[in-house]
Amino acid sequence: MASRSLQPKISSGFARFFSSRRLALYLLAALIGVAVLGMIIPQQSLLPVNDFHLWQKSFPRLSRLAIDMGFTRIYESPLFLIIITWFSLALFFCTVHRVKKISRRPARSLNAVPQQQNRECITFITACPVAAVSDRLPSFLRKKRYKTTTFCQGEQTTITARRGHLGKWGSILFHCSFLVLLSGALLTTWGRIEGTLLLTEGQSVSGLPTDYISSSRTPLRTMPPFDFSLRYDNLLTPPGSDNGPRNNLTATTRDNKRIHLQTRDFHPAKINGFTLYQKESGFSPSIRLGTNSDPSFFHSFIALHSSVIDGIAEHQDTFTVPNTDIFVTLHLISPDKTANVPASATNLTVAITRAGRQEIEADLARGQTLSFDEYTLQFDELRHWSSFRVVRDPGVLVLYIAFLLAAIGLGLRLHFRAERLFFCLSNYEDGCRVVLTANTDGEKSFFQNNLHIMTNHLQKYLSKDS
Amino acid sequence: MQLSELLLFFMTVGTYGLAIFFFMTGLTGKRRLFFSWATFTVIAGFLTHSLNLAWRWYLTGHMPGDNIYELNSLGAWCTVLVFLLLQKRYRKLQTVGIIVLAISLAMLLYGFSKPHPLGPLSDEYQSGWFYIHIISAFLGYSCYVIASSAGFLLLYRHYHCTSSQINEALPDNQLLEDINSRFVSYGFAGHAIMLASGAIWANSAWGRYWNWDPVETWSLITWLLYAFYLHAKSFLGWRGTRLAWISIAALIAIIFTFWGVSHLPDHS
Repeated sequence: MASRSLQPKISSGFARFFSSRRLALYLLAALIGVAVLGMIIPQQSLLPVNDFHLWQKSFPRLSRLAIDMGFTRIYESPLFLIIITWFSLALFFCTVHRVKKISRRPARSLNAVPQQQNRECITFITACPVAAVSDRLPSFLRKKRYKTTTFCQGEQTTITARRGHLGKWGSILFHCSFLVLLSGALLTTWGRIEGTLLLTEGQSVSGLPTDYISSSRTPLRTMPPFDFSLRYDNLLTPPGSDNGPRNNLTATTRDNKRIHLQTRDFHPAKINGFTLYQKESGFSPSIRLGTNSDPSFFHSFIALHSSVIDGIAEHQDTFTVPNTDIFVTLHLISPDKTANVPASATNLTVAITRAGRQEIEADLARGQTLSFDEYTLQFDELRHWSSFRVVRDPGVLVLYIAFLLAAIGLGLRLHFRAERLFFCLSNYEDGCRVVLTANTDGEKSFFQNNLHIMTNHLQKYLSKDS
Repeated sequence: MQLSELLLFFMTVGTYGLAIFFFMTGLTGKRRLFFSWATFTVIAGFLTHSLNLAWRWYLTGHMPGDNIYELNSLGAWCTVLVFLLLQKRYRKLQTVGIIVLAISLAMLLYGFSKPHPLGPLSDEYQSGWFYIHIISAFLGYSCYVIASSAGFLLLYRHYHCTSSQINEALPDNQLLEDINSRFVSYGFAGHAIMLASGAIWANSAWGRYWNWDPVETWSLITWLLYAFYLHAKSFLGWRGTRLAWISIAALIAIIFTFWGVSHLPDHS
């Protein structure tokens, strides 16, 4: 009988309630149920707005009910948050309870016969006397990586052996990794910030990089400035490559270390905790506007939006020159889908509108100037622009640690399966009668098979020595 | 698809089909003879299947896994590989092969019905994590297929088996139960690695490790179902047919991940 004092005590009623494994299992079932519900009911965060409205029109009563109950944003709904929090608490207390249970020393009692589950009994007789068997058996078992303990009581000798208990620790580690993973997810929810960076070739930034800053929970958080300066060197579209465009950037850290970075689709660049995901790219002509008195009162690169229509890439944008009524439309056509413009291309079409009336439209080559009214407009040069999504997510590292713990835990759990052997030795004529009772946490038939092989080896080992 | 590839594909399909026939005949006729023929045919089919995949690898220049055809073929190959390894150790489990091969054949034919272009690996797949993701996924799923096949045989014997000949050919209940639970635990580990590597891959390619999109959510649901299976066995003491039912339900959920998720409202 296992000593009562060795039983893990959970004094707090709160902890006792949450350490119920049955409760944890029901919560797991509830989590599955909620996830299935999230799959059946369209989620606003995933479905395009038009499709969602279509669903609302098709199922007006159901959709109203689902929206009212928060099921169309189920992974942010109170129901989901309650279940996941409750489940995390249950997981935590169950793990603590299990750690307490496993870390206590095995009962040094003659009655520590393996429990009924997956139990196997083998009896055999050997010519060796009890004393010799009790001497040799532990060394045989130790070779097989068992930890042994010998008890003597009167004429009866008992040897207990166990191995594979690391498997239980593996299981605990795996469950702990879940708690680490949930804390990583929490960090992402509250600490992740992202924004967009739009750069023209040759441009450098080091401060706030973004035209919008967002985080799911904290929309007004500002992204911290970079602790490095970033220069956008150039965009490369390798000819004949299927891998899409590549952007070259150079980061200069505070200690003046220059780091070359390259991004391409789905292959971001990482620097000092920031990750830069390449998004769109296009052409950016440099436009200079002037008058006789001020030949360059406006000078800027204009990022043109790209689209491919009937196999022809078009790039265009409109802008108003500050402090004037001049409205400029720029239009560039490149002959291939890869959005490349040949070096000799001169086809930037400029249209000027003033006070709602089109003044002039002309094709400009690089370096050419267009004159209208008292103004001059010059097309200086053509560069590329690229936009990057900048992300800083403190939860990712925690998440990776959780994955590592889970992998180690699973490895231990699968490799080590707890086995307990209980040898009862008694005199039988000139030899010894060995009664072996054993059980395992693993599968019975595999264990039975291994146990019979081991018993045969043991009998040979003992008979050889005798 | 090149003629050589087509030839290897149909040789594979033919040998797997023949192996199923031998297994079925072995169940009712001369067991030992037909089962050994079946094993030989499975090995032959596996070799042509391996050649088929290797040839495709050579032609495309990357590991198969870029489209539905390649994914299904790779999945079927992993399933047959796990079955052959299992059969090497436990000869009694040959009957599991009927279901395993039927599922592999279905995967192969389904993949073949989809387009199978030869081309370089898409940009988003060019990551080491992608390979870890698909290999762990298919090894995990193969283990689930073996587990469910054992579960199916357990249920068949429990509910329907009246023929003593078939009954004799099937492995004993304890072994079926143990195969069911052990392979669920192996599959669970593979599935966990798949989810983790998928999250890392998604983070490196799209900047988000979890987006609750239908494929990843459904994959999580099936993983949680298997977690429920393992915990129900450990804590609730569930055994035998109950667990077999859960493993079959979970396998159906996995099949739904491949074939059904695209019909859900959120799928894009």
